[in-house]
Amino acid sequence: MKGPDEKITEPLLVELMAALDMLVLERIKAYEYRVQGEIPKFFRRLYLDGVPEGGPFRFWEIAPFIDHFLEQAEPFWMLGSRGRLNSGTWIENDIKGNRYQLNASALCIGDSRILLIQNLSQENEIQSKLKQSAREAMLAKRTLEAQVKARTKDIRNREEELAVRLLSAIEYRHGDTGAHIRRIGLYAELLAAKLGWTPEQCYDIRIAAPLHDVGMIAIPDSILLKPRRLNPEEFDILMKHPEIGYEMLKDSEIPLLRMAADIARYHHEKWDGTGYPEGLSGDAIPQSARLTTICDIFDALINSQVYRGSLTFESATEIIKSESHRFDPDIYSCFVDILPEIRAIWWQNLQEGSKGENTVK
Amino acid sequence: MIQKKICMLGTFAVGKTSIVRRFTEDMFSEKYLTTVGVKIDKKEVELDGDKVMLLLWDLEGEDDFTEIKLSYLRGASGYLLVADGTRAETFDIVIDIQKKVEASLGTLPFLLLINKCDLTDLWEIEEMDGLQRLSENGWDLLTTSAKTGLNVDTAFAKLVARMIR
Repeated sequence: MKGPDEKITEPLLVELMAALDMLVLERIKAYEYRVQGEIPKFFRRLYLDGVPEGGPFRFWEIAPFIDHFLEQAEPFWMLGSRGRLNSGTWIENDIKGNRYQLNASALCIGDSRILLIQNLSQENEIQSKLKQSAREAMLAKRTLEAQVKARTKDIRNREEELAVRLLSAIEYRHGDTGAHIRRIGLYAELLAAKLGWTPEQCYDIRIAAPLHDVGMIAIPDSILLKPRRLNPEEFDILMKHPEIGYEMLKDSEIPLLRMAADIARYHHEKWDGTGYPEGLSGDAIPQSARLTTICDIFDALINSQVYRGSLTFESATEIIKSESHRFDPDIYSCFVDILPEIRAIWWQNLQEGSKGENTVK
Repeated sequence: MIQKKICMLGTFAVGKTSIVRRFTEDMFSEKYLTTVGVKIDKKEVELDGDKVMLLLWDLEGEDDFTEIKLSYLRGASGYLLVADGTRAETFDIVIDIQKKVEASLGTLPFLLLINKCDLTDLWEIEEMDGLQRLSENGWDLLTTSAKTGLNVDTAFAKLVARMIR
């Protein structure tokens, strides 16, 4: 064991420390340290401008990170703790801008309190490069995702614009108010979310549901706008609008339009099989159409139509309840759950309508 | 001279190092170089005639594999939380960091910097709908650009003023 004023001079140890690029310091008293062995080049470059050879070193002015670490190291040494207290990596730049990754450790060897400062730049090089690459890859992935999201949004906006322009045609032709058919989309979106559809599907049905009556474009005005009850022949012609709508929208590559085609074709089908054009019942009717049907009927009840005056919200709710056997029970149940939100949409729409924004024709 | 320690906190690649570099050297580089561990810079500022030496602790950003070492914040007089305006998720991370810091060190002065405001066309600020709420809850927010230098000095000046107060 060396004496208190002795330095490490054994050639093997000196070479070992040089190979590890490590400075060994021994604590003399609190915050004062003496160099043991050789001072490595990195330490000279970073800290030793103007510091007398051999120390003692006081770190608080030259190396704030080491000084911070020593606040932890002091109690560690005082307790004569076993093992090694590690500072974690920190970075220093020398006067030429070279970057060093350093690490400090405190340990007790016999009565000596040892502080090691090691240059890990080479050792950590591969690890740092890996971390740099991993983070760059994460950023690149994030950028790509953002670009895809932006492009998808663009496409969605275009789809929506096309659908809205198609809707305008229905509004002009059919006489329904624009507000009515848009409300159906909003109700359907809410209902779909309640049923657990994905956000994309909810978005699709908001645009697709209002297209349910697109086939009305092909129905003659003499029938569509007839102020009196239709005769059986006229009614037969009117009942063709689901098929016509389906023909117009089918075979699209756009999921939204494929959904709209189903809705157009089946929105007059009833859960109990009493609907048209095919008299389907239960799950044979696509869910998108089952969902749109209840929204369409409810909104028609609470808003003025060609043939009758509107009902109060409560009366419409009662009628829907009395006819609930015609609706999918799960969808009906969810619809009842979201009635407060539906009322809010309807009320907001009514306010806007009273400002003259409601009616197209 | 009074010395004050300020920590830079946030996830990786939000611009913490660039903000420090802009503040200390008035320089900016487009190249992203991840910080490993901690880097400490110094800058002397004057406040109401008094000289203050700021020790700027630039901590490695958090990610799934790296968590901020709260022991590095010991002795800090304040901190800057940095989020990237072009990455909405970085905003959630600073909220999380702030909670951890407050739980560990108590209440310290801090500011939230939404960096990269030179890239506003790529901003996801609409998705950061919690910003308004934070502002209402007393968080002090500042949009910055390490690239142009916008609000960088202001951010430090505001924080130092709070720390001294």
